Amino acid sequence: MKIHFYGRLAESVGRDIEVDVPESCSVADLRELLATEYPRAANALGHRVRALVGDMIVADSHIVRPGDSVEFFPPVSGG
Amino acid sequence: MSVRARLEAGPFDPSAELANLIEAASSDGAVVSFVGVARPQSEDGANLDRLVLEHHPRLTLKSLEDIAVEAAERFDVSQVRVVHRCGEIAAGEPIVFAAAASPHRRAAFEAADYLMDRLKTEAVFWKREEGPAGANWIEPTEADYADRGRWE
Repeated sequence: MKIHFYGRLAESVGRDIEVDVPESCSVADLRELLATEYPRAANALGHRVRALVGDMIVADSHIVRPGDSVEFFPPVSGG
Repeated sequence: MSVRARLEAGPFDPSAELANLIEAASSDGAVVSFVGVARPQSEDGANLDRLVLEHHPRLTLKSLEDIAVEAAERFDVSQVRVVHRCGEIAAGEPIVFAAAASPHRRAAFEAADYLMDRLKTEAVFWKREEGPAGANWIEPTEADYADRGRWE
């Protein structure tokens, strides 16, 4: 599965990575898996980081599919 | 009613944006504009060379457009403008121009205030300050979220 990071997450993990996910993997499971594989990003994957699939924000209970591309958004800020 | 939002990769001229808006608002009674400028120093006093605004290829412009449209729907305004930089912005350069025109001043003041509170917490950018001492990611503060909450 392709994972894309923005902001400080891209700095600590890399902009694009690929991970193998088990069947019936939720976004919460994916966060845990990423925190295990990238300990430096564990704190950065906290509750204010949103997950997007297909440009839509999804809940932690959302089940991701192997062909999905998932994006992780740290808090956004303009102005 | 005219609502426009634009993402700019290079410097823009806020005075030209304001002049265009005043011309478009010739039948209104009020124009209010705000210009955000890249600071030369961080909150803790460190010197800064630039601000870097990372953006999303599809969602950043959409977030600007959505905020501008919602301001137009919420207040009695005839014109709404948002121009927002992305990429590297040197200290002292404008980052954002947010403005509104209306028949009477209160709506234009409120629309500009609303635009900025929403942009600070919902415009899809990731902001990094860079200076001689290094780089630092900037996220909305609790005060920014509280300002946003005033409009709920």
